[in-house]
Amino acid sequence: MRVLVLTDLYPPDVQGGYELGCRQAVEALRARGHEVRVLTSAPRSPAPSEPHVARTLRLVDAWSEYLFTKNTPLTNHLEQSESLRVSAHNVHALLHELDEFRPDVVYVWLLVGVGGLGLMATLEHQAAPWVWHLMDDVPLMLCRTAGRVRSEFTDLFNRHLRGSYLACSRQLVEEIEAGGVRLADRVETIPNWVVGDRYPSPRSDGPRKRLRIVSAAGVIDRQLDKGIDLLIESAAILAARHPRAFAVDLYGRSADGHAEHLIHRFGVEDYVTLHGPRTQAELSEIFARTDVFAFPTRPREPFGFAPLEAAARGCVPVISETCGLAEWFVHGVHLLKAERTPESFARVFARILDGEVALSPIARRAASVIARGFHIDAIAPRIEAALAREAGRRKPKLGPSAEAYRLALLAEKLSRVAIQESYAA
Amino acid sequence: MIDYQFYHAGFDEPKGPKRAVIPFRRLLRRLLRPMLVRLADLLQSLGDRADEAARRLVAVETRMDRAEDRLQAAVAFGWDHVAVVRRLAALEDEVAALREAAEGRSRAA
Repeated sequence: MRVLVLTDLYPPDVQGGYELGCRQAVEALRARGHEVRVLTSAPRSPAPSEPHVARTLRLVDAWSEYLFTKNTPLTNHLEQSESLRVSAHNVHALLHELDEFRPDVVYVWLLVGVGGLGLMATLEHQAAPWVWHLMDDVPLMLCRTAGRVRSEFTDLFNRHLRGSYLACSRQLVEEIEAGGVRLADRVETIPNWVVGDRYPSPRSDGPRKRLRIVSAAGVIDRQLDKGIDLLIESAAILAARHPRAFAVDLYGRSADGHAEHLIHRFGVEDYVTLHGPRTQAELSEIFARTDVFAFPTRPREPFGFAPLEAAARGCVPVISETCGLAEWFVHGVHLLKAERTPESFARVFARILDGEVALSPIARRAASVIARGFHIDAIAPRIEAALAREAGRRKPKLGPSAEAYRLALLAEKLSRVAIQESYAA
Repeated sequence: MIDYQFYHAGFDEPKGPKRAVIPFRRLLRRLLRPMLVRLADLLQSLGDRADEAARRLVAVETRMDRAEDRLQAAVAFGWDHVAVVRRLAALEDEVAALREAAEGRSRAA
C-alpha cells in the first residue's frame, strides 16, 4: 500500500507521545513492506532530512506560551484560525503530495497548528480515503474557539467528513462524541504500544531497602494536570506513616516551578527529587531499576505511553482508576488503580510497604501481557487492516485539485477578513 | 445574628443639637409600633426560612458529594470490567490458537 501520513509534528520535532507514536507506526508499516511518505511541518529546530519525510507544512507554534501571552488578541485569533481551521499554504502542500505520491490511503495523526479542518476538507474534496489515529480529542480541538467547541464546526464535521478512526480508548471516543463529533460505527479502539526489545528485570517481594517510585512526564506543568502535585502531597502523607521507607523520582521538564514549590511546602525534600527530562531509552533503563510507576493523571487522559513502557520493564504502574489506560488493564492483576486523591495513592503505596500487596506477580503478568498484546508487532497488523479497509472504499471526487486550492484561499481570506473586521467594529 | 428589631436604630445617644430629634423619633416609633413589630415578625420568619434553606442546601451538597464519590467508584469499576472483558477475549483467542496448533501437530504426528 502507498500510505501518506499526515501529521503536524514528526520526530525529532516532538511535543509528546503522539508524535513518537506516529513515527513508531510509520516505521512498523515500512518494515511490513508498505511505501510510506510523511507530510509534516518544517521543524522548530534543525532536523536531519529523511527521504520519506516531507517537511513542507507551515506550522503555527500553538505550544509557544511566550508568543501567545505576548501577542495581541487579534494576532492570537488570526493564528488560532490558521492553526485549527485553514491554511491555504498547507492545503497546497497536501494537494501536491496527493497528486505526486498518489496514496492509496491517508493516515492522519495530530493536526493542530497546520489548519487541520482545511486539510481534512481537502482530503474529502479529493476523495482521498483516510484513517485518523486518535490519541487525543483532536476533532474537538479543531472545532474549538476560545476554549469552547462550536457547533457550527462540529455540524460541518459530521456532515462532510467520511473516513474511519483508530482510537486509543473507549473513553476518548465517548469524550469526542459527547463534544458533538460523531465517530459512530467507523471507529476501532486500538491500544497504544511499546517497541523494541523490552525485558522485565527480575523482581522479588523480599524486604526492600526503600520502595522506589518513579513518575515521568514530557512537561511538568500545573496546567497539564498530570497529577505531579498530587503525587508530591501523597509523598508527604506516606512519609508521616513510613519515614525513610521510600523515594520518589520525578522526570520531565519543569515548566512553571510549581513542583519545586510543592516539594518545599510539604517538606518532602528528602523523599521527592526532580531529575529533569530523559530520553525514552534512558527512562526504560530507569524503569527497570524502579518498583512502581506512579500515574495519577487526570480522568480525561486518553492513554499514555509511559506506564506501558514501565510495565514492560517490570515496574508496576499505580494509576488513576479513571483514565484511558484503566480500560485496558485489570486492577490487582496487571497494575494497581487508585482514586485520584493524595490519600488514596498514599494508601496504595503504604499497602505495598506493609507487604499487603505483592508486586512481583503483578509485574510478571503485566510484562507478559504487554509483550504479547501491546507490542507494535501485535498492533501493526490491525493498523494495516484498517488502512487496507479504508483504501478499498470509493468516494466521489468533488473537483480538481486547483478548485480545492482556490476554495482554501477563499476560506482563508474570508476568515482573516471576518476576524479583522470583528476587531475593527 | 441579624437584629430584626430595626426600629430601635438611631436611639444611641447622639451628641449636641442632634439630641433634639430623639423625642420626635420616639413619638413616631410609638405611632408606627404595630406595623413595625409586624414587619419585624415577617422579616424574622423570612430569615428563619432562609436559614433552613441554607441548611438543607448544605445537606444536599453533602449528599451530592457522596453520590459523586459513589458514581466515580461505579465508573472506575465499569472500566475495570471493560479491561477484564478485553483480557478475557484475548485469552480465549490465544487458547483457541494454541488448541488449533496442538490439533495440527497431533494430526501431523
